Amino acid sequence: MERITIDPITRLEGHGKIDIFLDENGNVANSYFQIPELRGFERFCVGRPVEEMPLLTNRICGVCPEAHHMAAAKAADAVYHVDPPRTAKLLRELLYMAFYCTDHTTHFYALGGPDFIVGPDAPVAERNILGVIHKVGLEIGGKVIQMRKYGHKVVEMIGGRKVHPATAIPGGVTKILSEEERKEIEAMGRWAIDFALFSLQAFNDIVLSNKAYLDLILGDVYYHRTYSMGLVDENNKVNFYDGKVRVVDPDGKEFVKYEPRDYMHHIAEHVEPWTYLKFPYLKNVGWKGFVDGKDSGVYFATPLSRLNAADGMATPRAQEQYEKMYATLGGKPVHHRLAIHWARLIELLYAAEHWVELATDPEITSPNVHKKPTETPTEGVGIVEAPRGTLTHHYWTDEKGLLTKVNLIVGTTNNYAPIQMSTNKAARALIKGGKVNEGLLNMIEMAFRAYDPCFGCATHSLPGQMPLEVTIHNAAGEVQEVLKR
Amino acid sequence: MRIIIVGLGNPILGDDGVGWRVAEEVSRLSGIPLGDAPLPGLSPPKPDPVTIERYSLAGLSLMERLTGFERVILIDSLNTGWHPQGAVIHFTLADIDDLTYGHSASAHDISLKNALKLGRRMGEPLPADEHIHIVAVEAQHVYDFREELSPCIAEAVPAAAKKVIELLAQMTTRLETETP
Repeated sequence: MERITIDPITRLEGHGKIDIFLDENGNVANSYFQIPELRGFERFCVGRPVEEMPLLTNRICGVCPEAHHMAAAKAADAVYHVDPPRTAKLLRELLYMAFYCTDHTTHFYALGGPDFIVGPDAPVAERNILGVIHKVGLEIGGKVIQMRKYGHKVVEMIGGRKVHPATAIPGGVTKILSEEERKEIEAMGRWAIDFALFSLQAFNDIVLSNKAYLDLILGDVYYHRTYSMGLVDENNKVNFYDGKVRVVDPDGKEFVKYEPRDYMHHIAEHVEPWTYLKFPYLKNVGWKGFVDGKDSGVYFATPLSRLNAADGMATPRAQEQYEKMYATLGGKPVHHRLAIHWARLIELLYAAEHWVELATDPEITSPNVHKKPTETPTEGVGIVEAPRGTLTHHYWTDEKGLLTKVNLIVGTTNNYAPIQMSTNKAARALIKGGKVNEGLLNMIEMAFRAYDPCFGCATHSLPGQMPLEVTIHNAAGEVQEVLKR
Repeated sequence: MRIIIVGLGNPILGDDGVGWRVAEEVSRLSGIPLGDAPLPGLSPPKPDPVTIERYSLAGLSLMERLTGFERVILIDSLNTGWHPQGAVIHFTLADIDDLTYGHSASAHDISLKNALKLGRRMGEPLPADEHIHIVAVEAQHVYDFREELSPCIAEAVPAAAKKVIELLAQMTTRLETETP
């Protein structure tokens, strides 16, 4: 049997790699995608006051501290049985919209987009944001940097400090927004709407009008019929900060809609012997393995699944784009995984539009931003949509509010099974009769990058990179070939 | 000329937090305050010639923090397995290859080198790679949630801080000779 390994060489513990096993005919027998796991977080938290969690969890990783800050604050609200004042919720959500704009922009222009804009077959040295600028023009780089600056500015204004926001606490937030700040935030939000529209236009002009790219999106390699998950508001519209978790089946019919506190009745975790990380699945469908279809409990939680799981977008221009996407791709739901990139841009537009809605809400500058918790703390769940999937924080405390148990299901974990399926399918398509197609690394990268996975810890230590390594083993298990990047 | 010293890493992820601990030691020894503490409002502009901050950042976000500085000292853990645990290594960004031309720097970022290239193309005032010094401590236990450093890593903190202060002294001495 041959084995191919894709391994991040900066981490030598064997985490975060892809092993591909070939059969005696040289075709893919199976593949295993291992995601690095951070260990001991629950043990680390137990005994600490629950109100520390919004600060502590946003240190879990450097990619989405804002998402952990929000999920933790909401879980801590629930632990204390306190409903924050409306203005506090508006401020949290406003910060969150700015974060979404930053995060989705980064993914599209620096990570996912280059495959389309520069081309999936372009040399790796060009398939990055510098290649995007080279092809589309310097103006686009300036806009990306500006969007990120504005996003960071809003996070700092509302969150009280750079990078890791610090103002959300049980019962609300600790900082009031001044009228001067509000005006500045509104102006930046209006710029963000134009930027999102510009990005969708660029996607239209560069990707959708190119038949080869459209064929790639609509091709079979990146197609999986699974359940779709996403948070929805009371009108079943996409919501990132609050609402109920809705799951639709592969035909797009509502399978379940549940309150965050009930997640344990609906989500279970499957264990495989070859990885430390667990695979969440829909408990009431059951685990049937890494397979598509209505009988398999595998679901995905990404921008596309959120759009699939909702009845539409809550803002007008994003709704127009939502309708256009489904009309172009043959109706709802869409299962073509590369369409996640398109859905991400529609979410970018929604986040920008909602940013302005929130910044112009008459109550956003109200000083009523905190309700003092008075009830005895017990247990609580907080769910938000992180850019890369539904993020669940569940805390249990004693009567003093000291943590006794913690459970987190992070965005990427939801997608572990579909990422495994997508990388497996890409490998099968590109390895035939022992012959490894040159595009293997890139096609596999494209398969998992669509999900925007966050291996938070992998970015921290120097050299701070995750090069890919493919080791091909023959049927006897001997190393036949090593492909490295 | 403005200089920034950045302690990098995750302070709750075991030895990955060594960059923060070294930055704190540099602050203590030099009397330069840490500039990243939570503030009630926006950070005021920092007129000081030397800034010390601590972040859990890489790539694009790190590049953005280096804007406007002419000399940089990054302090981080180094996870190569090529050096003994606790070894203090010094190099500049110009000394290392950019292994990640593409976008696999991490699943959600680009490499610092690429990010700097982007920033410079966009006209951001950023230092050259040879002016970005890295003082790193070789460490393997960077996956476990702990606030404490392993003993051999904790022992390396004074040596790493000393190296940073030496570099800082060289930079400021050169500045004095350069400035008539």
